[in-house]
Amino acid sequence: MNSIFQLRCTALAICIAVASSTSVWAQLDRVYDMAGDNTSGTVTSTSAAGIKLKKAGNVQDFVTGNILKVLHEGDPPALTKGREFAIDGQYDQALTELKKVNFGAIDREVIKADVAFYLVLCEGRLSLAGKGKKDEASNKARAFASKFRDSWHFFDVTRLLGDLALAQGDMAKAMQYYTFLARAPGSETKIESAYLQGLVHQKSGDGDKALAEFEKVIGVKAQTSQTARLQILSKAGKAVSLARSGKADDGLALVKGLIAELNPTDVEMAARIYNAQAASYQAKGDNEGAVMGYLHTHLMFSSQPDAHAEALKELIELWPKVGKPERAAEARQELQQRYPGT
Amino acid sequence: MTLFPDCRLRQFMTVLLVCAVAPLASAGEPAESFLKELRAAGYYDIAIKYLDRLDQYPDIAPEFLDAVILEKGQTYIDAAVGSRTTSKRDQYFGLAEEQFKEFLKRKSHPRLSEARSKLGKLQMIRASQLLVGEPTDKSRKAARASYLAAAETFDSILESLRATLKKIQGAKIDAAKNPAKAAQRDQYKGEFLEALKNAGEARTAAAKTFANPASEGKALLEKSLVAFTDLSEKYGIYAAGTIALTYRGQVQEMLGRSTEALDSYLRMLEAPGVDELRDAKYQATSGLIRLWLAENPPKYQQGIDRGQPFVDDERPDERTLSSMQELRIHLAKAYLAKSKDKKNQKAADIKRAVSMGRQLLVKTSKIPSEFAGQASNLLRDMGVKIDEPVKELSLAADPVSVEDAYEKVRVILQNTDSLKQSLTILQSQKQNDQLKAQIDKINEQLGESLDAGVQILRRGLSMASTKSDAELTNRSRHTLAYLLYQGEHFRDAAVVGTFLAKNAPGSDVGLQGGLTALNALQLLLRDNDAPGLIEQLEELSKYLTETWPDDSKAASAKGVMIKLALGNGLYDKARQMVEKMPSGSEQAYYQRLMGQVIWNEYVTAVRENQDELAKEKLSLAIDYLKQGLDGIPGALTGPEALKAALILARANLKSGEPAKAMEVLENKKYGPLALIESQGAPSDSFPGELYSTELQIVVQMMTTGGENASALLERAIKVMERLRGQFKGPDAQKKLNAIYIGLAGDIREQLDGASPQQKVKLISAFRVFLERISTTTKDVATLRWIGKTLMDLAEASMQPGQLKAQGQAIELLGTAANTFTTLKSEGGSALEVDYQLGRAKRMLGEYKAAIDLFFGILKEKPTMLDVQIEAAQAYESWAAVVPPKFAATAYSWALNGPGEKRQNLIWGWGKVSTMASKSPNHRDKFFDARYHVALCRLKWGRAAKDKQVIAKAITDVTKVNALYPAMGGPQKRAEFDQLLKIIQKEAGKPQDGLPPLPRA
Repeated sequence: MNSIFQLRCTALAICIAVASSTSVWAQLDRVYDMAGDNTSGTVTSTSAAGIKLKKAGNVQDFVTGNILKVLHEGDPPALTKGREFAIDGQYDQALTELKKVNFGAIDREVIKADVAFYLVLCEGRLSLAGKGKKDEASNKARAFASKFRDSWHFFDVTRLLGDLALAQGDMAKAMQYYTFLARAPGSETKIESAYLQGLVHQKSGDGDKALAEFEKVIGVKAQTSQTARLQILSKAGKAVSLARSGKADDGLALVKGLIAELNPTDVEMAARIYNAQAASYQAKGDNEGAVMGYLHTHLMFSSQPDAHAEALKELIELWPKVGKPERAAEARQELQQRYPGT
Repeated sequence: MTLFPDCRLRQFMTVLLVCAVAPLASAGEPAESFLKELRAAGYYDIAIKYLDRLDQYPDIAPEFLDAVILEKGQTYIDAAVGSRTTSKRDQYFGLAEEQFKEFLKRKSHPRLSEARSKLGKLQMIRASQLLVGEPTDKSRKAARASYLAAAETFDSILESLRATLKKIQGAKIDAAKNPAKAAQRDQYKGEFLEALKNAGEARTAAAKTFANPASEGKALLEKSLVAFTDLSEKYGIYAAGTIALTYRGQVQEMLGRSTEALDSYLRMLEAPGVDELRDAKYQATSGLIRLWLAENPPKYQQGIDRGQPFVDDERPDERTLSSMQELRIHLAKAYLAKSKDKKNQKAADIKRAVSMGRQLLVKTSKIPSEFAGQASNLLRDMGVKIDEPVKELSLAADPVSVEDAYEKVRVILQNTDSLKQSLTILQSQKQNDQLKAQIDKINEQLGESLDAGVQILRRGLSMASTKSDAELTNRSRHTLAYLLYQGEHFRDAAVVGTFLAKNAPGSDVGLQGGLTALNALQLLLRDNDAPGLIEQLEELSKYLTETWPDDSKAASAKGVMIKLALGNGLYDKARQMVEKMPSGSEQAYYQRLMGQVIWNEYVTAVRENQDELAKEKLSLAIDYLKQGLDGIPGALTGPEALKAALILARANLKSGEPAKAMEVLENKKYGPLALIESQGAPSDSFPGELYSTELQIVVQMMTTGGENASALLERAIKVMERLRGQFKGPDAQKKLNAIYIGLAGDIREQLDGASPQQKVKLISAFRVFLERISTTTKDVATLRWIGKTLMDLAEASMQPGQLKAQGQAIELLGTAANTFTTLKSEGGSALEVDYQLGRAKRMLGEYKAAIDLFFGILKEKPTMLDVQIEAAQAYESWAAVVPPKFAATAYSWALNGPGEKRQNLIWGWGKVSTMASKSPNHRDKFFDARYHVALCRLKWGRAAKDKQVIAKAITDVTKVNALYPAMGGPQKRAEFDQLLKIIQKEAGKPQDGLPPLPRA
């Protein structure tokens, strides 16, 4: 099966998934939303768009982007644990738990889909962090999209597929997956789609298109914290685009504002902001400033794999320019050890 | 790449934070954290540049910006420490000093005190750097200036803290009500003492830069002596104050005041044996040996007696200590001085002294330190050829790939196998010097091969990439783990093995790696008590049993988990694991194991006088052992079960059930008495242990009544005969003696727990028993046991605290003394007999005879702590009955020993306490000795009518209290408290007693 055919099959599966839904047996389940509330009832059907929960004769709809997690009656204990680890970003431990689940003993499809999703997610995220093969993770994610087309995790898997494609340098596939995210029902996912498309443009060297996507996100009236966060990330992206288009001072000014409001516990955001700062200094020819920017990411925010790999790559180029070629060798060694094949 | 990196929880938390409209406290440039990371990574140049351009970063904490100069200073210090060349290091130190001086120009800043302290230490380091190698007059002068500058810096700290502390003292802080302020006060006090010590050290070091410190640097030395005297006299209850005694001695020594220096050093050695004081004690001992060797004739033996125990007691982490190298050098000099005293030494002693000196010098010459050169020179003077430095391993074997590395190591391992075979053959032959040299050589080659293999594999594995053969790479990893394990690098072996197991789950090589790691971790745990290791072992065991569920080797990991839980006292966890096992031999085995572990806990609890806990453990141990023994399927038992049965019998005996204990020993399924003939003994020592337990049971049955007394007596005599038959060879008497002493202890224990009426009855019964046995044997060990038991009977009939016997005890002691005297006259003389005889004499009030006996023992074994205690007690008891005009001297002898009159062999309570403090096993003896130190000083002062001596006894108690607030337990603490109040009263001070125990 060639890659174009594979992509078409996946896209077809996605289209079918959005349109269809599956009925499930009546059970006592609990849906947790992003606001911290939870509602119990019976999950009557799921689709890529969300969940229908029946409670005291009424049916309540939950949209995909607003769901944190669903606990089902009959969840195997290993799923319960694995799910929590995965949500917390502890993929190694999550995988250990999830591998204990006996698929044959599960009689509800919705639980099977949940287990399969978290397995795919963990393996995918670990491979992005250099702990596994990305192509194998992509294959498993596509298999999930094909088999569990009515899962509410569908768009999460789409995003994962985009991330994996981008990490493997396949810009076209990444763009297709990220563009598809815009079909998700939640407004945040649509905004995220725009941001991610901007990132792909930027990586492809198309600064104008990237800037246009970032501006779209920045221009939205932020009503939720997720949107506000996306806007900060887009500003970091915009700073890079400005720097690369000869407006490094504007980029730096933008980044300065972002650092002033920096939340150092949000590793991804911090890593992207400092990489943007470094790129701006680099564009100005200030190699020392650029080294400091990338060192922020390397020394303090290295748990965001793609941003860390980017910082290491740039440091390999920059260290000799500030008279420290031996440190470039160290950075190269770390890049090869932590992110082989990058 | 993802926006909400699939960390939905984080997203969720963000929502909550936004809802709460809580500002992010740490927003803005994280300058302090980034700077720390830069320093930790060794990017000092970038760190300095970053500090220079902080203005380009927004929202940095103002207090950080305000102390940028200080941060630069610290960065330069870190850079200096990380520098490889002296010139670069000095350059960085210079830059750091400039920064601190600049910062200290400020009038006020919360970090001024920190800056001063850093500057002072920096100035000290810079000065010492200037004196490295062969210093010139110019560098000496520069160093002196830097030391004096440091002294002034420390003086300024003292001045500032003195004022602060005065204010705090006025405020009278109540630690219970205001712990934060009390902690701050303690911190200031600590800083004050540190500065006082540093100022003294700086001036001493400055004086040493002169060619003749005693004359040219006299003024500086006098000033530092004032500081150290102040510190040791006023703050003696703090570790810093006690340590100052060593510095004080060193300065006194430099000033030529040998007597005062000796006193300071000796006082330092009298201080309790706590870890913080070890280094200072080594230095003080070096000083003592120096002074003694300088006397005419040199007192080398005193130096050896003081120095050798410290060197013998050296801990692994002290091997490279500078003070330890210095001590070895001085001790070696003492041995060499002894070897030159040909008039007073036998040829064998001279030879031994030369050998001891040489060994010490060789060890010192091999450890890099300022004393290595001196040691080498001394060795050269002795005509010893110094070894060449260890060669670096050849890099010729550098691999070009992981495959190449594996192949190279395979060849090395083949050679290693043949070396091991040669070693086995050589070891099986009769040993001689030539053979030993060959064995050493092969062992050395083996070690080198292992190291080379590890290096080659490490280099090869560093070249592994995604294109490398995965299986071969994993095999290389396993070989690396194996070689590391063989080379006893257990930590590294565990890391490599665990990585392999996780990286190759389900495969054979992965399992092998995991098992290697499991073994390595277990061996590491044997020597280290680290919770992290336990967690690692637990995690690995769990992983192995889950990943290779059907493999029997992996299943052994479950046993490790149970043993681990038991080892950590997690009985519930272990019990749960054992209970989950299917019933059968495996479960019964772990039940017995649990029983045995809990029995050990019981023994510990008894030793620590935790009666309730001991009772609980004993009952639990009995339950598990019984379940484990009853649960053995069928009739077959192994040696391990016999051992478990013996422990169960002992446990029953301890719980006062001798009849049940006998039933266990005679049980047909697992009873060792019933099975030892058919199954054989599980170990050489087992029959001895078995019959001694049987004897204990019989003796206890005799005392509990209800059994046929004469039948039991006959059985006891038969068991004793069987017991004697078990021990043959040179150590037979010694082993038999140990068993009998244990038995005597049991009898004593029964007596202690009996009512006065029962006691009289028991003593009469035992006397009959002992007399009956004595008529049946002339065996030395048995007679010795009889004597010892009579002693115990006598002591049991005395009142607690009564030192001199009365009534029935006099009779028993007299008989015991006669038994020992007979033993001696019949050639059964041994140190233990003299010791017991000495004790009997002491309790009978025959002090001179007792001390003569103890002195005789100490001539042969000067460090026998129990004999030293008896000798000190004899002097103390004697002091109480001598005419008043001799009492003061007698108490001073009890305290400090009689000195030359008894060839300096009898220590007195002071040195007894010092020696006892060195071992946790002697903790009770230590507190007891310290109590007697204070008591004897009080009585000495009383007899001499000298209030100053009495007042000194206050410090004897308060020093112990400062270091060990619990003072050996509530009872001992109460005794100390009562004594302290008496001393305080007689010294004319308020009777405050001990301060309350600090809250846990």
